Amino acid sequence: MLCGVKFCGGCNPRYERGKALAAIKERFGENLRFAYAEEGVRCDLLLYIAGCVNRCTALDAYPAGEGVVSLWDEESIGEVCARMDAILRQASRDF
Amino acid sequence: MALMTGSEYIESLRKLNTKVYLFGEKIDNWVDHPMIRPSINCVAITYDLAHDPEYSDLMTATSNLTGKKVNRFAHLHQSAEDLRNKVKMQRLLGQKTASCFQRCVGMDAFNAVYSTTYETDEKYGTHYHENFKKYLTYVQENDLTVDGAMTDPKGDRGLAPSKQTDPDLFLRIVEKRADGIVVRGAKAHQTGSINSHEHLIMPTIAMTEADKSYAVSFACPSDAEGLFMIYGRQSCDTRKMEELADIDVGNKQFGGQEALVVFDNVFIPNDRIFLCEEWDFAGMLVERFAGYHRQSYGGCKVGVGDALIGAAALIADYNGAQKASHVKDKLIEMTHLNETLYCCGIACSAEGYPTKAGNYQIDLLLANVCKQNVTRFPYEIVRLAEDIAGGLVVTMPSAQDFRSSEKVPTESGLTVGEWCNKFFQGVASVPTENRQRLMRFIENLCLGASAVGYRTESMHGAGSPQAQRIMIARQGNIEGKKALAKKLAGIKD
Ligand SMILES: Cc1cc2nc3c(=O)[nH]c(=O)nc-3n(C[C@H](O)[C@H](O)[C@H](O)COP(=O)(O)OP(=O)(O)OC[C@H]3O[C@@H](n4cnc5c(N)ncnc54)[C@H](O)[C@@H]3O)c2cc1C
Ligand code: SF4
Repeated sequence: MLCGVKFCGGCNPRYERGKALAAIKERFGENLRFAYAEEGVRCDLLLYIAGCVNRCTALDAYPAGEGVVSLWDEESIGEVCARMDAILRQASRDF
Repeated sequence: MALMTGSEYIESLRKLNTKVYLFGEKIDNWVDHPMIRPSINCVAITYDLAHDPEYSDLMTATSNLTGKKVNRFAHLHQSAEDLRNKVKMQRLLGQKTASCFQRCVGMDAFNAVYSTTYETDEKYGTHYHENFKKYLTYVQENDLTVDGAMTDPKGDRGLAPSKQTDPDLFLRIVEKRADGIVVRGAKAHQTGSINSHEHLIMPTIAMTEADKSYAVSFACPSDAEGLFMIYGRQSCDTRKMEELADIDVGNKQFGGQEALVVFDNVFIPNDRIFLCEEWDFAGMLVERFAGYHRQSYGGCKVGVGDALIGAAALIADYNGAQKASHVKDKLIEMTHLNETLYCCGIACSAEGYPTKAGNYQIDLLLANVCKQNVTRFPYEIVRLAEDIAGGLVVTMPSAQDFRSSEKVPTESGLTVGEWCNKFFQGVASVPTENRQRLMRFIENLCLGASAVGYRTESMHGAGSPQAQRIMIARQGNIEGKKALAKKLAGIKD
């Protein structure tokens, strides 16, 4: 399963978004493939990493089969991983 | 051509034959000159971040001219969201460089010239808008940096361009030919001019018919025949040439740059002309460029402010004063002032509207309020930073002294370096060098080379304070406010 990663533009992020991605990647290991999301290129799941609650990026150009999971603060990394996990499990059941 | 990387940008500068004078001499390898290079690094980061997935969302946009991805600095704003993203991008770059990254003047000029040429053509049946679209397509396709050049030397401020004793004190058309025009004069205080591939020239004030030969807008390469630049020196600039510049400059990697750009009879071909004697559009161009640029400061200065507030908080830690309630309160005040500027930048963007040409214009009143605050708040932020940092910002010995192994012939037998490290330590767990670096960084922003961008540019860049007050008076709708008061007070006349 491919997880597209989309960062916001990072004008004034309240935490280190790159480090957050590294932590999420580590958490999923081999179970999920990560790649930077590209406009118009479909991924299975879109992970949107915003720097603040504003979440100001327009995501319409980034299609994702199983939906979008958004992170906008460091404290929610665990919660976001749990949501991604649930989507992953659901998707593997659907197969 | 795809978006350039920072190093491709730097290499592209080497291919130009830009003529630069510094300390009275022509500098051939100006790209690697230690006084100039930090300002080039600053522009280079606008290229590098466009490739970085963590920042590309703000750093790039889709061109309305070509449908391709372009650097946002070459973009025509297509929505209020684009205007907001511009301000956010500028804050980001201010945070990354703590300097003036120079590329905004070009972006602001593109947007002002695009809409003004459309309206000039409408009235005069000229073809400036088509000329400009072709030119901007060339800029976007080649990912160029362009200096938006407005300010003339102006000579006697009390006299119109055509009334000056020396007619060159405002840039003007000296000859009209079938294939183009010849221009003469200069542009002063030009931000990033040396680091730009191209120059986009605009008039500096609204004009009357008597001044029509001064009503001119055009583009030309930075190495055009007859064009040269004289570098503007900055406070503490020669520290950049010292051996231990790493510490004493305060911000070795990044910096800003201004220069006097002289046009000694430069030929401009017809397809690069965007205004030629239509004097009644000079004012529109000035007002629009200034408006965009006054918005810009609600982003870039805020980002630099973020870095200075961070430095003030950190130096309080290093000094052991971080728990003092007045220090905490001063940091709150600095943040409040800084975010107020950001509010202004975002507000004038959010209230943006489309011009006749289709690109988006900021709300002029709010942009002028933004810049008026910018003429004040960075000064107060600097005052508070200096308060928190303490006097060492201006009295600390040089980095050479800290490294010196010269023994001082006194009883203790310590070296100059040992004395420095002994007496300039703050909190014992913090290496003295860290404190030294941070003091120099604060000095750099408050009164060193970067104060050019953070302080005096905040005052005069995009127009001196009075210029905003004139616009605020014009846009402030005092008559409407009087009517409100009359109605509420029950006055009928
Ligand atoms: C760091 C920096 C970067 C800049 N970058 C750029 C750039 O990239 N491109 C660009 O085009 N310009 C740039 N500028 C120029 C900027 O727009 C001008 O500095 C500004 O317009 C003021 O002009 P001046 O410096 O000639 O000052 P002056 O015009 O001499 O102003 C000095 C004082 O005199 C007053 N004054 C002047 N004329 C009059 C008058 N006729 N009536 C009443 N009062 C008057 C002003 O209000 C002000 O208080 C930059 C300036 C700085 C400081
Ligand atoms: S989400 Fe927040 S940090 Fe990221 S670009 Fe938008 S406003 Fe800036």
